[in-house]
Amino acid sequence: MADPLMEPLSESDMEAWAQVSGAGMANALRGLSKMLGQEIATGVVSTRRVPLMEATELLGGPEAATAAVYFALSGDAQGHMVLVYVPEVAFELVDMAMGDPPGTTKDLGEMERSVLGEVGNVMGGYFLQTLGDTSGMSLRMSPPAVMMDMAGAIIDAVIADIMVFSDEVVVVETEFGTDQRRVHGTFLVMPSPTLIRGLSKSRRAA
Amino acid sequence: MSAPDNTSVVGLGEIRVSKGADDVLVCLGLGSCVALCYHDPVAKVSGMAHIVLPSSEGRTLTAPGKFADTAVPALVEAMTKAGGLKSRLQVRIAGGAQMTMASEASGIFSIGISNIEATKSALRRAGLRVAAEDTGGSAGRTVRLAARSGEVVVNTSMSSTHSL
Repeated sequence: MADPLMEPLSESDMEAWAQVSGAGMANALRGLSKMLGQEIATGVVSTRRVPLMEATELLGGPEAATAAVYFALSGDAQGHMVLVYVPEVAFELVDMAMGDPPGTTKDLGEMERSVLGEVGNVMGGYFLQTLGDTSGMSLRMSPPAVMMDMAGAIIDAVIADIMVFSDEVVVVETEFGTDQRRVHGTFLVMPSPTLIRGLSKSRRAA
Repeated sequence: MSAPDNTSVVGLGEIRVSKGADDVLVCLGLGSCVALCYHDPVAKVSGMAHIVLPSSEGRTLTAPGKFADTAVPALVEAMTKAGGLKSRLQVRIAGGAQMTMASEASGIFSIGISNIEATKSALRRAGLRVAAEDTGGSAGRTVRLAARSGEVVVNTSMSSTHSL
């Protein structure tokens, strides 16, 4: 008996995912712009399949110093969302959100972690709103988990969770930032095949 | 530490064995994953597995190194092929951190604890004793194993370094 999770995703599934997640990313950046009170530009949104063995490269390599905000997705489908920053950029993002001059934040204490988590909440919330509106699926995100460590260490539990049913992961990623202040982050979403199929199905029905 | 070109990265789910004089096997940036290290001091051969999950649950395997229950015997076999003897193996393990305790996300991140438990119970079943370990906690680790000497060196992200 074939496990539906094991069946390969079709090209039209991937296309649907690229379109909806692209719109979701744009919405997430609108949310962030509103929160920070300034225009945040988004780079190219890329959707691709990545072998799990290479997944840490998405975060700059296994030993790269990384600040990340993780959310588990649940509800009608599962998945993972991770916002990834170089630590200095995470500090700068906290300064921006707090209205402090650049260079004020130098480490992630409880307050700084909470600010980063809130930034993540806004972006993730806006992203999921697009996915939910498009698909009719009910999707929830966990409270944020803010981590600062080696990239491999942050992501390997997520990789393990995906590895149970697959050797590759579908990701959508984009960079975002402003010209004035050097704030570049990567927004990484790893949906379960169920989530991608749900989106694809709802688009065919529409 | 030896020159980088003698260093072999043991990727997720991989198993590597080496007996080269200056060779170093390394697992980079371990969180919940576990570096399983064997050394035979007589044959001067070492092996490392990068364990990702606790149990293969009877799946057909392309990479036995992925799972604790299959990595333990598969690494014994690889060591034997390279001239090692099971009864002489020194076993060291490192990794199995829980990177976050945050509420609902912690379910996924508690996999590190399961990985450690599964590795130890597979080692017991194989009749192998753990000589040293650096496991658990909430910090990432890079683990290096010097092939000839069997020395295991652990670096954490907080940049502390120590031998096992």
